[in-house]
Amino acid sequence: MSGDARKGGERRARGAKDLGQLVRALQSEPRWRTRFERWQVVPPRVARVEPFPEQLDPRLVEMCRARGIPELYEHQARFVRAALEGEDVLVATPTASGKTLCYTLPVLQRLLETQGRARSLFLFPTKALGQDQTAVLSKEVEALGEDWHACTYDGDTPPSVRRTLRDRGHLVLTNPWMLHAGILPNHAKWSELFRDLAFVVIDEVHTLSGVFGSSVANVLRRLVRIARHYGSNPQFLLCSATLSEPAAHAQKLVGRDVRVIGEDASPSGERTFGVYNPPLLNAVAGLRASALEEARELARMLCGPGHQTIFFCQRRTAVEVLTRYLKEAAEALGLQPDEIRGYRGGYLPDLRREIEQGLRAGKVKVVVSTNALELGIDIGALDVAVLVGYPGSQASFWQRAGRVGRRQKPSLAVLIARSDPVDQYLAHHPEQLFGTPQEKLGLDPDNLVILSEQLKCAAFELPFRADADGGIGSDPGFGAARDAASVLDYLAEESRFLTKRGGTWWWMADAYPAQDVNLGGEDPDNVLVLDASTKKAIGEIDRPSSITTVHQGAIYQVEGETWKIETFDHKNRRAYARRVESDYFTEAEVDVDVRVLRLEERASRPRAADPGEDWSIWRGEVHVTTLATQYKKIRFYTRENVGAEDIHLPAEELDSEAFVLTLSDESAAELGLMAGDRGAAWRGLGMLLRRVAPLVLSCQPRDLGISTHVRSPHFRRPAIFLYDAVQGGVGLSEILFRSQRALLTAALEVIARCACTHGCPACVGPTEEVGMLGKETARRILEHLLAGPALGKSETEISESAEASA
Amino acid sequence: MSESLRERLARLRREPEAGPSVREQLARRAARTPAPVLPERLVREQGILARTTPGDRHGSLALSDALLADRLVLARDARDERFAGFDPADALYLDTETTGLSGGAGTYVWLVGLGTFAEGRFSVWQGFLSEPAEERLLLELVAERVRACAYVVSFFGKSFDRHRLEDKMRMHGIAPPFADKAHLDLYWPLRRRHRGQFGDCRLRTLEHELCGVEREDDLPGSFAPAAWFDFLHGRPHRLEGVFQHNLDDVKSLATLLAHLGREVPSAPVPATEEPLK
Repeated sequence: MSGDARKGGERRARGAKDLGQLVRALQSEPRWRTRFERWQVVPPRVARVEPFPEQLDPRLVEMCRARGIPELYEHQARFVRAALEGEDVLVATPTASGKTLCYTLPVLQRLLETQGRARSLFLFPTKALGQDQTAVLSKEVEALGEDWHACTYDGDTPPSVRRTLRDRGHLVLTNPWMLHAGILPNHAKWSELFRDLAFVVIDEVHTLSGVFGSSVANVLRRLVRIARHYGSNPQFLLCSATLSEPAAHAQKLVGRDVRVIGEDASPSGERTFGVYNPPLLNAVAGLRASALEEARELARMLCGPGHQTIFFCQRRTAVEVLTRYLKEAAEALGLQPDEIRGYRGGYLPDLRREIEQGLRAGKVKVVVSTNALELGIDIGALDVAVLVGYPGSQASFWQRAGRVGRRQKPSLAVLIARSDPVDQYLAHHPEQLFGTPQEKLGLDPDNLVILSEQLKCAAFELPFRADADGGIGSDPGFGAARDAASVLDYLAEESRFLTKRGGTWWWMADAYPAQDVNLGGEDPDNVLVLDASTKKAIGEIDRPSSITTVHQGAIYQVEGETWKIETFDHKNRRAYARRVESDYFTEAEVDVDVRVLRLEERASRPRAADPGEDWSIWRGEVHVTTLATQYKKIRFYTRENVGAEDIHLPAEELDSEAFVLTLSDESAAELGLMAGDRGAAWRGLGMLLRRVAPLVLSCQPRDLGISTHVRSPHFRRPAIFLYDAVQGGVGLSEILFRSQRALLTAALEVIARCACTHGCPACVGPTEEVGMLGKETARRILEHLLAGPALGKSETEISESAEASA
Repeated sequence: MSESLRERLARLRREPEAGPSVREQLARRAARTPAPVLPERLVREQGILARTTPGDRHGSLALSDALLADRLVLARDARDERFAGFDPADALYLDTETTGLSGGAGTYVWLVGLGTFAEGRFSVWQGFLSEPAEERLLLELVAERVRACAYVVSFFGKSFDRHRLEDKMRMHGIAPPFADKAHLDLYWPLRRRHRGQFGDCRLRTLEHELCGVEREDDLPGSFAPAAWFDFLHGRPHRLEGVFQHNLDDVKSLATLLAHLGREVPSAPVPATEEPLK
């Protein structure tokens, strides 16, 4: 590819008035053409509209018309109608489909009907979103000319405003943490809100999964209890991105059946999707060019002064690295360096507001972000989205792709596949991207750790009265919770917090439980990163990640600027950094130790030829110890390894649930696992399983931890452990246990299709890590596991014959 | 409950210790002789009444000295014109014991000391929660008595006691009686007058320095929650000590009021954070 032709392409791209030309360039130029595995065009969609529901107050209709909304989209009308008829409703459509109006109309309607007496509570997953929406709602209330108040109640709310809000706030916008620790435990102060509570609106419901979602489900149980105590029975109005099982998810979250509205009837311009696979650099090794480097190259085509582009990266370091690359290349892109911004959750609020504002105003032309910009913060609609790597779930994919597409204008979204099993799988099966979401969300409100902590909080709020049968089945909030009465008994007997007297469990301690119970979504145990000289905060990081990101000597990045961590005061959750000019970044390594505590379920298959077991899967509880051992220094651009240092930090301990796969020694020998570098191949298989897990369950790769043993101390045979990386587990390993066949099938598919010969990062891992026979061995094992009879239920004890032969 | 569930809970829950104060108290209690059983009368009537005789002293002042307090001085100190017509005999002197300082629904107000004057005699009714299930009853009795008075006098009650009582009343659907009640919280005017003079502005310090109150074997307020928990669990308890402590607190309200209403401040009262009503 000669330099001239390339420059010509850039010039053409920069001069392009519409994306159509850009796309055609990408499809025709030799340099790019071969790398796009697939193009998908979604034709422009005309809006499907309906007149306003008849029950709707004419003043609201007028308000909409004045805002340029002459009628509603079908999904909005259906939602509003269902809400006005008293149902609990969920709208699960992509971003920018007008979900806000769905809940605003019923809420305002009820206010009008009750002359301002009805109250509504809104829950947003971030403070920023809540504050955004307050402004929106206030404007609407003003447009109606009523004296109602919409206010954010969060950590930033000044005390004087708090009191007004409690007494007279008609629309209270808050977040789950504030509800959990501020509002519910002090419900007497909010008695008026609870007495007249008509609606509970929850936005971005698809983010409520895992530990956080399971905790929030319990916070909602407490909310329902308290509302009932003061005499109200609020309706739930839920908004979400598209989900694989929306009805089931909503049911688990709010404890009741919810009407689901899932067809997006909003209009959109023509949407073009490109799935880009970086070129193979080494076919034998299966090495592809780095997705991040490809993004940098593509930027020359995709960025320009005439439109706005957003890059989504999976990791914070990637955001920093790419932002830095692009700022340095600003001139070649036809931009000023300050028109290119980086964005992530660890940035301080003011900086984030500034960037969001710049995007809305069109001043920021390029933004590089983590999933922080996936949620509904208003940044206007952009034109081009580049996803550097598959974000791990279809919901996320569509949220990110949904960031582009102005009304009636074409948009472009490009997914750059990484050398990663899931990415490569989707590069070859892009239809899975465009179909209905496949991944299931892990949500377990009855997780014992979470339930017991939340029951403490609930008991603090209102005592629990036992029913005639000794249980609490009639409790409006926790009635459906598994084993709740038993957990209460446990707390009464073993802890000093509860006392059972005369059939009632009372809170009996000089303590405020909500303070010590964290919801898991945002660790109050966060580590603050401070400028060592000024002591001012420059960022924040969660505690489990801190041991690998802000250890002493780590390079910490903020908007492309590099800081070096001088000291990490682990005990006091503070890291001190100094600004440096660094030509390298750092990556830490960890050692993981898994100990089996208790096995709950097992399925196994006997060998065909002789007595004895072939293989098993298990589900149970484990204790995991994670130790950060050392970090590597890696030069920017060249990715050269320029050194390594030790890390001296305490280990992180975790009690959780795991999915385990074991192979009997006989079968392992037959499959060639015993000859040659067996440990490496087995480990490669484990890594692959972990990395294809997002195809069967909604999780980030880091939500699952892994540990492989050629000879597990517990099972005394080869074992692969995949564990929930959260205390107590949230059902991820259970989903894996039930979906083991889909998991193994996907893994085999990845290996079968992979272009490499012996192993590469896109399947089992590079040969340096898995050995020359790694890929072959893993494939043989998977084929064996998938062929023949299915697994059958089995005892969790390891049989004597197996032990004898072990 | 199945064995396995208990085991699992024990393993999964990283049990935080009961607050150090409770454990500390329990440890101290180990060596003590059991306290007397609570009088039946108390349990039955939801409260006990302690009457004093006119002329009874609390420290260097007589309790009835409160009746001599200058209402204009008090009105200025209270920064509330409603106290211009203040009659100490029409006031309710209030102090409570709770199970915690943090407020919130799970904090119980289990002892409510309410002092009143009648025919020159000061009496203190101490409402007691002998069973958490009887909370509503106690709160109704307290609400009734607060409603019946014209003024409330407390020490730090505007910031604490009043809110604890109101919260609990609201939980039980009892209309809180404090909203329009003129409330003289002695902490603020005393703090304005004596800040920096004695090292702190705690009730114990002020009653001692200003009114010469000496308490013998006083059980500190921090022991109150544990005393109640012990009683409820049938363990040896220190409730009598808490009752005495509460009684002394209420009496000090009367004598501090007497002190406040007796002295004419020599220097102009400095402006502070308390806004004029």
